[in-house]
Amino acid sequence: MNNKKYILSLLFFLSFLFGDTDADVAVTGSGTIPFCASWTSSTTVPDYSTVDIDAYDADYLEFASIISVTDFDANYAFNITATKGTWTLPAAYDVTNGAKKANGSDSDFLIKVDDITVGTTPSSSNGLAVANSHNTYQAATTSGAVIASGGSTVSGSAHGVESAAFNIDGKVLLDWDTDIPGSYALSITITVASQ
Amino acid sequence: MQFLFSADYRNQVRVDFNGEDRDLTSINWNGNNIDFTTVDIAALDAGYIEIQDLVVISELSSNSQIKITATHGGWSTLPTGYTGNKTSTTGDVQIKVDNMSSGFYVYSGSNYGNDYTAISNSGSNHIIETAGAVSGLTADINARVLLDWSTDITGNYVLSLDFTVTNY
Repeated sequence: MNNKKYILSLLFFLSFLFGDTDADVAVTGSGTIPFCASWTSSTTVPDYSTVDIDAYDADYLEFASIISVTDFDANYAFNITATKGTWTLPAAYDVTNGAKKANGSDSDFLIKVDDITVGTTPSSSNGLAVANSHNTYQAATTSGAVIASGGSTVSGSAHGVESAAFNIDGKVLLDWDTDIPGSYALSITITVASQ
Repeated sequence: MQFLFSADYRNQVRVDFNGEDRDLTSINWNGNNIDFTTVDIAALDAGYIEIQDLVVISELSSNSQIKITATHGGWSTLPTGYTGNKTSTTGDVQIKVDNMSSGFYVYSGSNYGNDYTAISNSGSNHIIETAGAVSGLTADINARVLLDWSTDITGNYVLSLDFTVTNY
């Protein structure tokens, strides 16, 4: 009899010792971070009105920093591609013998990448770098060519690049015989894509 | 026939109620999950994605002093090849508490009420507390997930955070 009493008393006593609290809260973060790239750019339009005798004699005229890119950031390995548009040519241009082709299938406009700031990376390597020999002038094409790249896709060391910079210089080839006076125009477009 | 009523104490059990009142806490709070697909250039430039009202405490009542703890559950999924600060146990999460009603206090010695402050998986990151019994308190818990252009590469990320309320 006395044992029952003490057991019941103990059970009630123990139940009052333990606290009671509502459930905790768990929060989950999930999702795919997309490829992001950011840069600040400015352009200096090549001015063909500056073509002169010296340029014809040299067979070309260079235009420094036709595209200037600063504060380039990318959160994964990337390629920067330059693509040439089509030419606007003088109405009387010799489309047969002239090197410049209205559809852009010529090699009369060349570009190179210089003034590179490689940017910061986790391992201080694989920053922004010239691609496909564009540290020297290469003919721009309408199909596009990778002119610079950076970052890494290597498992265990994949990364992007922060605070890189570069300039693109242009060079138009000139010929006394066929590059007649008149209006010329051409566009160069650069795009950034994830590797 | 007569029924005879009499006290027969041999078939009775006497129960003595004694002891102290136990700690009781009622909390109504809700968490909002984080969507990393919203990370964009602006977030990477800022260095973080901010989640206002990650957890909203809409009512906390307790008959004793309590504390709320934030615990980093780790990054259970990271992109292949990831090399940054985020790990399977911790990294890149900061917490700040605001809109605290009277009766809530920032945990002594911590900075969770003033600035976004890192949490770990130690289970010891007490963020706010009460001084004693309270009723109907409210507060908002905000978070920042730190981002880095060069290391937070594109890919899938999964993170867990846990918030618990316990007695002192």
